[in-house]
Amino acid sequence: MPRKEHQFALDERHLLTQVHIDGILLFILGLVLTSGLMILYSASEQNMHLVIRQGIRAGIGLVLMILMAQLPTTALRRYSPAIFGGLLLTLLLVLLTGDASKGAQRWLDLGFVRFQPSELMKVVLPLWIATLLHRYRAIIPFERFMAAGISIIAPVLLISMQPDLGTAILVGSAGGMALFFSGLSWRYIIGISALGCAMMPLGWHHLQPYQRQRITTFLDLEKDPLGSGYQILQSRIAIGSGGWQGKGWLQGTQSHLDFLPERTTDFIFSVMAEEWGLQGVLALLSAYFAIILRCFYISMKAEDRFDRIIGASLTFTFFSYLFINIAMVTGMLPVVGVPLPLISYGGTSIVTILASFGILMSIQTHKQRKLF
Amino acid sequence: MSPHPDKNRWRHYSLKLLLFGVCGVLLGRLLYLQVWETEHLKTRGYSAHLKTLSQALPRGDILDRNGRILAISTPISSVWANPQKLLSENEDVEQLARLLRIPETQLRNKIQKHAARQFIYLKRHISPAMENAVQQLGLRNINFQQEYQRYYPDGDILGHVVGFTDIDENGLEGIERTFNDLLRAKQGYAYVTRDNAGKAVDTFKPGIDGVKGTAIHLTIDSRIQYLAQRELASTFEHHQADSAAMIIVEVDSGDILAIAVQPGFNPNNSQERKSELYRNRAISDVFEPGSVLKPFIVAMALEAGTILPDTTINTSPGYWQVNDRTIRDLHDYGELDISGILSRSSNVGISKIALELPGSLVWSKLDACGFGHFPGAGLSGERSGFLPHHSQWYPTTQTSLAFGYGLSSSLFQLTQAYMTIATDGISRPLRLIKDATPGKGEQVFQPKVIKTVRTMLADVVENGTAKRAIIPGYRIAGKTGTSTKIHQGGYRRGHYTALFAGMVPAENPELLAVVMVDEPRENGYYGGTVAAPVFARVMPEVLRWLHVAPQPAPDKIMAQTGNPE
Repeated sequence: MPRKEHQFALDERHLLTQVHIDGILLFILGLVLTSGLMILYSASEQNMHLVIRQGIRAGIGLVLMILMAQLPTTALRRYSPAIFGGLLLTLLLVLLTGDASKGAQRWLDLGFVRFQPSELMKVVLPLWIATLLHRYRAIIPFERFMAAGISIIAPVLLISMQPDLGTAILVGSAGGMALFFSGLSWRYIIGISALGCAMMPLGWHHLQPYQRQRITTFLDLEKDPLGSGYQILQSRIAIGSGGWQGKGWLQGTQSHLDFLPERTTDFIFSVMAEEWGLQGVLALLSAYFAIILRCFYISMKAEDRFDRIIGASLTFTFFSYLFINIAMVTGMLPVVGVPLPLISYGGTSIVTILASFGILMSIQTHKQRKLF
Repeated sequence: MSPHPDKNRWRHYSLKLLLFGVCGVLLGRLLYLQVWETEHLKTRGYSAHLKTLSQALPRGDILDRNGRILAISTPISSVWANPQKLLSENEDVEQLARLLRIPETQLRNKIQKHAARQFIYLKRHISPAMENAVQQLGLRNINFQQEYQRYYPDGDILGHVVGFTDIDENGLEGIERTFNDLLRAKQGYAYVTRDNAGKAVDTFKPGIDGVKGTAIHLTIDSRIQYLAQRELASTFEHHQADSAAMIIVEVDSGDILAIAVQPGFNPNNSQERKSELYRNRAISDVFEPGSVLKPFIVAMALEAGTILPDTTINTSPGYWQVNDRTIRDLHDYGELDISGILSRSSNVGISKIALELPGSLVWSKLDACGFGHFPGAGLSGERSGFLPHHSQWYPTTQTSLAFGYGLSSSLFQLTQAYMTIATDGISRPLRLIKDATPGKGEQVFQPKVIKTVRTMLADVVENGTAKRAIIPGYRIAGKTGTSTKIHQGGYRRGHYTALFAGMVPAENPELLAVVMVDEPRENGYYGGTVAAPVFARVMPEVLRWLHVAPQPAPDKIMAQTGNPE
């Protein structure tokens, strides 16, 4: 294509696109983040201090998102080996020296900022897998596949040793997504699934007692409704008693009377469902679904194979985040400690997720050849 | 270049399928919870945080006739906790156990044992000092409940009558039991929202106010009760008796001023709550009344005209054969007039009088005096005693009845029967509750006859078996009784019930007192030796308190009553 036409076309582009921002995505994210802060305000017993902190984190996340959007994905491809390697080392470091929080070593304190490197891995792993595999359209060479496999297993093991089962699962699934989108053939997929099933008893053996209890509790909830099934039961009561209308903002009894556990983090969805009812739940889920559809659309329309792989992987990582959290608080999955994306209180998670949306925006706005 | 090469199309579709499928599952689950299950889950939530709190109110007081408190409910706290919270939050059970003075392992076991419950008392009724100390600990899941504890200021003075309650203030014995419905407070309710720690944070609808229990005024006079109890206790000790009881009645009103019972019982002490201690023997123990029944036979015969006051009866040789039974006196008293029969307490004489009377008459008079009937005075454990119907009598039954065997009665019933002698022949229920309307009396004997009988009973005290009942300055009419108890299937020597019934002043009685001492073992056993002195020790004080004026010397009165009119 002639260079001139390209220049002309560039001028025709939307202003937001020129600054590499996807308007639709930004708008929905803004909606979700705003309602998220409102939910947090209620869940935290109107603790404005806490809400402002979370607001600042969201702000940082948004800035990082815009910065990431400026970066062409080719740069990500270039630096991904170094970033992945560095993060893997950091995970090792966390295991050895990290701060313990609730019996798990997850935190790395850099003095000016305290964060969970495992959260970053959710974004970095798909990048690295895509870098490894994006050039092989039809058949992936075995050594590349092995390299990808080890690249997934290593961080998953390190994270599950912290122990942080929820994040390990999410990181593993993010890597798996990337593998899948890289065009892994059926034979591999079936093989990995079979291996996974075979490993399950071994995995069970390596779980912490509290993790095992969560799973057995999940399998027989009513057996001990006031013991370890307590959290899920209280959460179900909160969600169910919201009904269609909800009890109203700041009016949820399950949460404000202290029956609901972890209500600013893992169980914040239950607070929202109790106070806003099914109508609020449907609105929020629609927003989430719109985000996912938009991201899915961006990934599918991506012109570069690398972009498509990372776009789809990040989209589905976000989606599994959402699914696991809601399934967990509604009692469909064991409590594995996965926050509600964009809404749960906590810094690293929101910043990482927004950064990954930055990557998706970059994919959408750095298209060179297929503008018309 | 196409973004969807054909070979990757299945990947695209399976992803879309996954995406929509998973969203459908989530939506389905949420619909299920928020639409289908919503009522059930709402109820479940409410049941956890909406609580009906019962509001403790004190039970009604029990007061004596002068308004003195006999039983009162005082506020006290109990400590409770939610065992689940205690366990899950790992609170300082060690410190708590120390402050509550419970062994730590015991407290832990208790918490573990009730781990599935939401409420257990850790300790009931703790002292304010203990409550303070526990509060200082500042444990989040330790709560206090305001309750009331029953307290009996007079302790063992009136324990048998007032009775006692359980820890939840339900009456178990005595007045506490029979008037439980009246005494019990109407519970109030508060409807509150509670947080997960069980603390009330708000009310969700207006509560219902409770009502304090109704106070009950007894006819008992605490001072007289105290006196009676004190003297009875000393007699009980002195004679090493099994039990003893005394009832004092104000004749005009029929009000019971005292019911003293030994062995003593302090309702404040839960260790003493054993039937042999708290049983009110004045109403629950029945015995054969023995010679104290003789005046009733005399009254019947005088009224029937079968005898006159100066009729003489030969009691020689001191025994009398009726069918296969031999009736014996202590001595051969020879020729006795009626007054002599009573003052010597001659079994032979009274039997001869009784056999002249139709059985139906004897039965109907005793029946009218209350023998064989429940007294219905409002105390728990009342007994009716036993009076066989005259149709089932043998001649020996009638002679036995004449000197008080073959029927049984409680001390309370005996007192009620003696009221007919104290009130010129009117049988009327005794009163224990001050506000109760006095029962309608029934004229059982003619007043003239009763006056004569009282003169004879005054002679019993002055010249007969009851000399130890004499109170200087007052003329007393009374009768002693010493009944042999049925023991191991027959009447045995060495097992007696000593009795005395006395009234003062003899001419126009204001007070009636009946004393029973069961199985005195030391220092004599006759009614005149054991029971009559209690009367003599208690009544002077009572007469003084109630302003009953002393009378002129006995011989002057004798001269007056000797008047044919």
